[in-house]
Amino acid sequence: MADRQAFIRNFSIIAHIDHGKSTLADRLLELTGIVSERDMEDQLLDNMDLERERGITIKARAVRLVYKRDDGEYILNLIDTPGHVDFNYEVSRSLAACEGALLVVDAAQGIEAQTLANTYLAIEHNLEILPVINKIDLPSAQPDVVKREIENVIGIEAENAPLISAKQGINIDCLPDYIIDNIPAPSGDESAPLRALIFDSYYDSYKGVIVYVRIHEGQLSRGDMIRFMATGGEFEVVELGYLKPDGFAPSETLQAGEVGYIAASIKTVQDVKVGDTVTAVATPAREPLPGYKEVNPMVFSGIYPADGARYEDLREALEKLKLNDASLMYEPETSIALGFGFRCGFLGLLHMEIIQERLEREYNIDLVTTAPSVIYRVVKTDGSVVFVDNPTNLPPMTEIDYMEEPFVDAHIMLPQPYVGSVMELCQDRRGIYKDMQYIDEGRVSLHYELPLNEIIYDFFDALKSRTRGYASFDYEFKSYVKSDLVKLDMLLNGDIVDALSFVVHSTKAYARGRRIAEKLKDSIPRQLFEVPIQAAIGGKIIARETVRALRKDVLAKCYGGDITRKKKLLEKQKEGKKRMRQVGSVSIPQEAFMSVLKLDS
Amino acid sequence: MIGLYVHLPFCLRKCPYCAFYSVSGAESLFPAYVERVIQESRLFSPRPVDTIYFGGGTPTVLPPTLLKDLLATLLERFPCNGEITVEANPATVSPASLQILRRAGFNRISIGVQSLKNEELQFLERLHSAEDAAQTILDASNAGFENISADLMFGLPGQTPEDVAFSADQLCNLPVSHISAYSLSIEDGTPFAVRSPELPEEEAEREMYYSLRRSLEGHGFLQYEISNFARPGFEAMHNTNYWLCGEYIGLGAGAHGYTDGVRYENTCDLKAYISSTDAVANKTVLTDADRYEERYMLGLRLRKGIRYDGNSNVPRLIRAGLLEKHGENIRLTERGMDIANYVITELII
Repeated sequence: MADRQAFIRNFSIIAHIDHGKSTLADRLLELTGIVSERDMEDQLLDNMDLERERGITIKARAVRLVYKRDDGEYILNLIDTPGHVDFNYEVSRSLAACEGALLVVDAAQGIEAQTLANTYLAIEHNLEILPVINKIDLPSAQPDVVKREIENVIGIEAENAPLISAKQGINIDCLPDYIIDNIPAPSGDESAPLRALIFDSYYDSYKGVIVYVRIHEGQLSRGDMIRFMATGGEFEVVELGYLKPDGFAPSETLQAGEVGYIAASIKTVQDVKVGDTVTAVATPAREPLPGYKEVNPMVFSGIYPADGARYEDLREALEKLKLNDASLMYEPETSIALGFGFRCGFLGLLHMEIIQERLEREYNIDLVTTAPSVIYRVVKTDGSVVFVDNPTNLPPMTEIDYMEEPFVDAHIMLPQPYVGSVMELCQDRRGIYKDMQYIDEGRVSLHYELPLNEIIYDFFDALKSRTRGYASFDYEFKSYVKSDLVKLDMLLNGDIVDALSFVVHSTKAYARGRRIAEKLKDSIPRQLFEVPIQAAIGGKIIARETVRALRKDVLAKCYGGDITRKKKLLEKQKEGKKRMRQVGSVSIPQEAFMSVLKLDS
Repeated sequence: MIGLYVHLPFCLRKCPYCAFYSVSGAESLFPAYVERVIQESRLFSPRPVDTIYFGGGTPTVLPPTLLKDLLATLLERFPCNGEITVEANPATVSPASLQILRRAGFNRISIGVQSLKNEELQFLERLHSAEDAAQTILDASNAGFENISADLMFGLPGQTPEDVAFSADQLCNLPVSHISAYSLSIEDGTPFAVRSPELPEEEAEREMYYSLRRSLEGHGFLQYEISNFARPGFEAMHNTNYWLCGEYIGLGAGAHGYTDGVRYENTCDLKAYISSTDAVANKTVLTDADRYEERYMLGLRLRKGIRYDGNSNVPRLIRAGLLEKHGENIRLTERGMDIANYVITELII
């Protein structure tokens, strides 16, 4: 019944942070009458607090909208995409579940790097791209300029792009028709063996893992035995149905072209891989859907409880977070300086920040984190290869033939006046200039190849401050490149502090070592004895600072029996002491570990 | 032991380094204030006390007869056969007023000398010269004070250990029996906090302290507390009571007291104090943990130290050269005194 699918449209929205994706989604929900305005929390699709605060969508969600018009009742499945480069693969799977996408561009700001990256991704997946110009109510809106930009940069027709304001509700009414008339209906063979694409999952404490799927071919009914083709896991479908904005709408079957959920008593999200294909055990498909890949963390960091006694709390918190985040990896790790903690792997920097913030905020655990590291490919003199994500585990220099580090393709979009300064930044970060493109008279797209380890410290911050926040940035892994890398150790009173070691390019080791030594000098309180701070490569000292010995720490006055000042001071010192870590004979405050993470450029 | 402290928060003029509560130009309030102090004293049941201390501010800004009357009234309720101290500023006393005070019953006077170098006194904006200060000491002695204490300040910008020793030597040649030596520190909310004069490096400041200690010890003054030196038998009883965690009644605006296991603090606001019926602004009932910490915090300041209670941090601090055994007691070493806060924190953590 091809007719059935003719009334389905599966689409997503591509937009830069703040360009109005969530607001637009809300308007579409209102328009299709599913949620009354009054019941609706703002920006329904972003349902994590953190997402709402940052104005970004971290995890994909989907929602089924029903829209009636003269020629019938249409099902519009809006599949939301995470808006950040760290979740590139997840975005690609969400897009693979759609036939088209709304490209939402801010009428005042134009196209941003992230938008471009996701649009290219959508084009790769043969999606129909429908441009929409949002925020036309802004005084600084320049819809014509933005239209031209879309045509020039992306190469798609934008003349008839609707001019809307999601916030003010301007011109929203035309969108359903725009979607229905321009996005192709799905056309999968519903009598073929089942092939359903997993584009998201999350853990529900009652139903187990909820699997979000797009049925490409065949159909699925309650009670069916299903198999995940990549992992081989087999489960019985306990419940399936559609995704309404306010919850689940169970049904008996899901058919080709449809988007919905499956619950099959699956215990952990690890059993459910985004991008995997669901098929039926009884009549399995011969081939899975294309595009599945294992996602591997790119950025690693040691996470330790500030209060060592909370190690178990931290473990539980990580377990809980992992329930809903298959891409988070962690394993126990011990540091001489920081005690017991976890080595955690993240998809990227934002992912790392989000996890750290959720641990601190939702689980109330103060953390000490080590400098983020990428994975180095180390070729040893005996020809064997090891991958190292913790500088402490690097083999001795004498056993290393050479090292390789990951490089990324980076695209930076920015107003023309900042080009010089940003090129300088990229150069400074060992970037290899590839290309520069004028998007329009005022804006430029810079393409660099950059070593990932230069990005993970403070590249975003540096970029922001050099462009007054007007640049957008996007990167993806390119390849491993042989590189002249060294391990930089920091020594306090002659002892290496493992949590402060990291890998750095030899040309930068000297400056970096000196900066960290200076920072440590400022953050380590004076001790009973003089504490030398040294930066060393191998056995060679490249920088030295000294924390002078504590000479005086005594209060004199106590007039009239007023001991409150003494008490306050004592309380302060007690608190400070509790926050100290003992490394050898030296007490180091937690802040010292953190402050070296933020080296301004 | 129990002491009685009376706070008289009046000054001729505020010194730029002083963060203690006092006001200047409030002469009209003197009678009402004294009246209110007497009224406040009635909240405490009559009892003999071991020491009485009139502190400030500058108590001698008040007319000596008023101080005399106040003391007389208080003595009716709190008889005292021990040390009765009044603080004085050289610019606010005369031979006549000193005689009145001595006769009123004050047997100890604590004089804010601060320095016997005029350029240092000018820097501190004191209202008296070195000569005035020396004369006041002589006048006090002539008035019959046998127990005279002088305050000294060190750690002033540009000061040398020799400068400090000079003032100390000069003082010791005068009839003083007790010296309190304070290092200048910049307190929030003072004019110095705004001007932020550059204080000597810690190393230099300690050298001044050592120089001062050497000089005083050479003149027969023994250090009995981190900041206090006395000829044998002239240690300040009233202040020693603080270090021993003894109780004391505090009267007056901004006064602190410690009675029946409760530390309290009166309102700082002069007018609010005068018009109040209950002057207490802050009250802390001490817990066992508080008492434990205070014993270290206050007791260790004394040279004789405190009774060793088996605290497990002690051996380590002895090895580090910061504490030493002293009979049944433990006490700070000279190095330990320099960083007393550090040592105390290590002991109570």
